[in-house]
Amino acid sequence: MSSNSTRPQKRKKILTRKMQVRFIAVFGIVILAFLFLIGRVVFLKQKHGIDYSNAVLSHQSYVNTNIPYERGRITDRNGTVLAKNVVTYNVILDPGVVNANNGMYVDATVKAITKAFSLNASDIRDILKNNPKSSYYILLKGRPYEEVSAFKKLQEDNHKYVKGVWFETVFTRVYPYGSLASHVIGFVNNDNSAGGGIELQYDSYLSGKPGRESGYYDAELNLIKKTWPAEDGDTIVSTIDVAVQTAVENNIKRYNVETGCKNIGVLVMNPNNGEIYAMASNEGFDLNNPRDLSAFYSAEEIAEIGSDGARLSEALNAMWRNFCVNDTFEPGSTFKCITVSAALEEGVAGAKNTYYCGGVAELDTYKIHCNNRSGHGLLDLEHSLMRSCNMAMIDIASKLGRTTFRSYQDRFGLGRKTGLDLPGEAKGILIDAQNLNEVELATSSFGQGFNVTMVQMAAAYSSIVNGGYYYTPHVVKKIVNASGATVYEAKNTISARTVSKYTVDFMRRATLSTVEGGTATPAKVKGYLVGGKTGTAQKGRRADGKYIVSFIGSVPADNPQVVIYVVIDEVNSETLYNSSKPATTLASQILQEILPHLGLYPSEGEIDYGVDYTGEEFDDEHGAKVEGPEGDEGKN
Amino acid sequence: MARENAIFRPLRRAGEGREGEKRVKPKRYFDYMLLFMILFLISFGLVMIYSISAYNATKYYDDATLFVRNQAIYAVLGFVLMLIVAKFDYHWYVAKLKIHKKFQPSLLLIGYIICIALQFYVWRWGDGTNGSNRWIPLGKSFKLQPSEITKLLMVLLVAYLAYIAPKKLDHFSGFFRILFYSAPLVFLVAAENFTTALIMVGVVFAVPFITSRKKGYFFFSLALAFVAGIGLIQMEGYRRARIDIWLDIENTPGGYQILQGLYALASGGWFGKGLGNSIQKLGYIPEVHTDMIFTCIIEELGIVGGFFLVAIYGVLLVRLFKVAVHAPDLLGSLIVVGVFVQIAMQAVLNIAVVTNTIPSTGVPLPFISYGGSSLVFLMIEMGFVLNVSNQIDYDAAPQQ
Repeated sequence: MSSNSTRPQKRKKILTRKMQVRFIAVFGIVILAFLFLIGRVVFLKQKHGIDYSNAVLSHQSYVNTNIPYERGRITDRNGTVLAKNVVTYNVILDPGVVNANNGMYVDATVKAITKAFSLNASDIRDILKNNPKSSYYILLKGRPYEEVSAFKKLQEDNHKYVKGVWFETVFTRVYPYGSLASHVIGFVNNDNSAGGGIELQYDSYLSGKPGRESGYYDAELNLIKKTWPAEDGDTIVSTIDVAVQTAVENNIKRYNVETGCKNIGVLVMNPNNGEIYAMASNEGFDLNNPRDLSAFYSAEEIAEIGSDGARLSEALNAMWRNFCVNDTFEPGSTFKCITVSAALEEGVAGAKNTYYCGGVAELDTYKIHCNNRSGHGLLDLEHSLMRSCNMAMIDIASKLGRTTFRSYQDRFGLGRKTGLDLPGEAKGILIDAQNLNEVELATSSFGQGFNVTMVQMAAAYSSIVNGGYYYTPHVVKKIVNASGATVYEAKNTISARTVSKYTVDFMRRATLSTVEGGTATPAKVKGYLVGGKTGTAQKGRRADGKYIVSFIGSVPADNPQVVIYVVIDEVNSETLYNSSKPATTLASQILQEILPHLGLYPSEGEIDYGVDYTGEEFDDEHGAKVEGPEGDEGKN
Repeated sequence: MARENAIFRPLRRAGEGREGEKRVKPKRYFDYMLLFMILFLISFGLVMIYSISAYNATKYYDDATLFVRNQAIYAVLGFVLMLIVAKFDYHWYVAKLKIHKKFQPSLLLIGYIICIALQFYVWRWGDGTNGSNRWIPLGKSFKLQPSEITKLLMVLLVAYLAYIAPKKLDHFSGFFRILFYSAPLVFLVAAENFTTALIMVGVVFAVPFITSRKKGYFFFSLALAFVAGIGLIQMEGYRRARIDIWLDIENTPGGYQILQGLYALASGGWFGKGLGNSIQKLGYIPEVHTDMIFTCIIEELGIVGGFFLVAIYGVLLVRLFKVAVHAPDLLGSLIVVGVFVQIAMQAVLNIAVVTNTIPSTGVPLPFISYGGSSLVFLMIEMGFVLNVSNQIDYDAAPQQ
C-alpha cells in the first residue's frame, strides 16, 4: 500500500466502461424501485380507494367543529334584560359514516348515544338500517349542553369507534318581557336574521364571530387540539325604561278596552338629550312568537290568511310596523307650536299682538272654518294657542310667507329622517315652497296638508321647550362588548339650534296655559306643571269625518325633563271621535304613572303656576273645516 | 498515524502539468440542463409547499405564506452556496494544505475530524427533538443538523478512498479500508438518525460496488449489514414500534400519520383533486408539508402527477449519470456517483415510507419537502456535481 502511495501516477484514472455498466445496474435498481413504488400507489388506490376516500370525507366533521357565538343581549337603560339567548343542540346522526368499514363503529356509537341521551338502542339501529346511505338525520332537537358534553366525553374516550354523530348548535332568542317594547326591540327569525327594531339596526354589533375547534392525532396518538374561541356579540343598552314602557303599554291596553280606536302611538322622551324612554305602537306583538297573529285575528281568519302568502306577509308587516317611526300622518294643531315659534323667531308676531277670529276665512275659492265656527273674537298670541285658533295661524303664516314658513319646517327636521336609530324611518311628505299657495299655506299653518312622523314631531317640540336645541332622537344609549368595554356611546350632540330664548320662554308659558286653561285641560296632572298642545286632524278626504287626535306635552313646563306625545287614530266613540280629549286624558294618566319613575315627584300643596290663566272652560277643539267650491270636496 | 498519512496524501490534478508549465485552458462545459432540472424541482416544491402548508400556516401562525417564504429563503441561500461550491475545484478538497512542515492535512481530513467531533457532541449533548438528539442549536432560531454535513463529507470520503486505489477494491481488504474510515461516522449518525445512516451506508456500498470488478464479498457484507441493522432496530424501542405499525397500519395506535397519508394517496385517483384541493392537508396529516408532502401531491395531482414527479427525478439522475461518465477523472465520477446514490435513496425511501412499503422513518423528499437544512445541503451536493461537470472538456461533453 505504501508503495502504491508513493508511486507516481501513470495514467489518468477514469470511470471505465465496466464501471459504467455497474453504474447502469445501480441505476436500474433505482428505476425498478421507482416503478415499484408507483405501482404500489396504484395498488393502494385500487384496493383502498373507495374506503380511504370515505375516511377522508368522514374525518372532516370531527376535527373541525364550529363554536357558536352568543348574540349580544339587549337591556333597558337600567340593565334590565330585554333580549337574551338560550343555547340548545340538535343531535345529527350520519348513518353513512356509522355503517362504514363493515359496521365496525355501530356498537360503540349506539352505546354512546344511548348512554348520553334518552334513546332506545333498537330505535337507533333501525334508523341506521333504514337510512344506510344518509348522512344527515336529525336524531334529537333542542338538547341541553349537559347531555351533549356527556356524549362528547364518551366520544373522546373511544374516538376510534364512536363516529358519525355531531351537533348543531341552535340559539333561541328569548325576550323575557314578551311583547314589551316589541317595535323598538325587534326580533330574530329562525334563520338567525334580524327582523326590525334594535335587532336589525344594530345587527352588526349584536352578531359575534363563530369560533372553531380542531384537532389531530400526532404520531404518538396524542390528540393535539387547538381552539379559537367564539367572539360573542355586543350588549346593547337601550334608552328604553322598562317601567315607563310598561306603564305606557298598560294604559294603551286599558284605553283599548274602555274605548278603543284604530291605533295608538305613544312616545316618551327626554327633551334634553333625545333619549327615548318609551315608544309604543298600539299593543305590540309577542317577540317570542313574532309570527303569531292570534292577538289580532280569529282562528278562522288566520287559517285563511295563512294559506295566502301575500296576505300573510301583509298581515305580519302590518303587525310589525312601528307607528311612531314608520307611519306618517297630518299632525293637526300640535303643529301650531312650530308656526308660532317661527313667527316669534322672525318677529312677525309678538306676545302683544292680537288677532281677530270671525270663525271663517275665505281664501281663493275655499272657505276655511275655525274650530269655533262662530269665531274666537279678539285673541292675543298666547290665547290663540290656548284655544287653538286657526284664523290666527292663517294670519301668522301669511305674514311669514311661503318660503320662510317652509324653511322653518326644514329647521324643525320635518320632511327628512331624524336619524333615529331604528330601521325604516319615514321621511314624511311636505308641500314644496313653490306649491305653498294661499290655501296650502293656510292649512299648513295649523298642521293640515302635510305628513310627519311622531318622532319628527316629538323631536321638534322637544327642541322648542328645551331651550332651542335639536337633539337627534335615539333608542340606544351605549354598546358594551363581551369583555365589558364600551364600544359605542350615544353622544348627545346638538344637531341644530331651532329657536332663541325668547321663543322658548313664551312657548313654555303658552303650553302651560294651554293645559291649565286652554284646550288641553284634561292633560293636567295633579302636583305637576304640565305644558302641551292638542291636535285634531281630519284624515284623508274631509268628508269621511275621520280624525286623528293627539297631545304633545312636556313636564315640568318651566324646565321640561319629559316630553310625551300621544296620537290616537280614529277614536272609537260617537261623541269624542273628533275631540282631543281622549289623547289629553290618556297622556295625563300615563304621566301620572311614569313621572315618579323618572325622578319627578309631585309638589305638595299649592303650585305657583306663574301664568295668568282665565279659568274659563273651552269647548273641545275641532279640526279645521275646509270647504271647497263644490261644497263637500275636501282639500288637503 | 502512518496509515492516515498514506491515505490523505497529496494529489495532483488530473491532466495538469508539472509546476511551472503553462496550462492550456480548455473550453469548459456547464450543465445547464442539470441546473434547469434543479430549479424546476425547487420551484415545483415551492408551489406544492404553498398549496399544502397554507392552511396550517394560517391556522397556527396566521400567515399563509410563512412556510413557503422560509423555504424560498433557504432555496436562495442554497442556490448561492451551490454556485460557490460549483466554482470550488473538487480537487482542492483532497489537496494538501501546507499549514506546517510536519502537518499538512487536506480539507477532507479536517472535515472528517470535525464531523466526528460534531456527531460525538450531538450524541452526547444534542438538543432533543422527536426522541433523538439530532440538532445543535445555533442562536435562537437556527439549528444545525450535523448529520447533513456528515452525509456530505461521506460522499467525498468514499469517493476519495475508492479513487486513490480502485484496484484494491477488488479485494475485501480494500473495501474494508473504506468501511474502517466510514464506520465511526456511520455508527455515530446511526445512534441518532437511522435514515441518514442508511443513506450513508448506501454510498459506502454503491461506490466500491461500481469501482470494483469482483463483488462476491459485497453480498456477504450486505448480509452482515442487514443483520447489524436488525440488531440496531431491536436495541431502539421506538424503531421496533414502527415495525409493528408498518405490519398493521390500520389497527396499531401510532400509525395515524402514515394512515392519514395513505388516505390521501388512495383518494387522489388518477388525476387528483386539483391543485389546492387536498382535504388531508387540512390538519389531518401532521407535518404534511415536510416528509409527508408526496401524499398530498398525489391527492392533488393524482397518480399521473406523482408519476411525472418520479420521472423528473429519473431525468435528474440521468443527468448525474452522464456527468459521472464524462467526468475528467475517477474522483469526480465517484463524487457524482455518491450524490446520485444519496438523492436516489432519499427519493425512494421517502416514497416507500409514505406508501407504507417500509416502516416509517423520517426522510424528506429531495428538493420538494419543506426543510431548510436538507435543501441547502442537497444544493451544496449539486454544487459538487456542477463543479465536476464544469471540468469536463467541451469536446467530451455529453450531448444536450
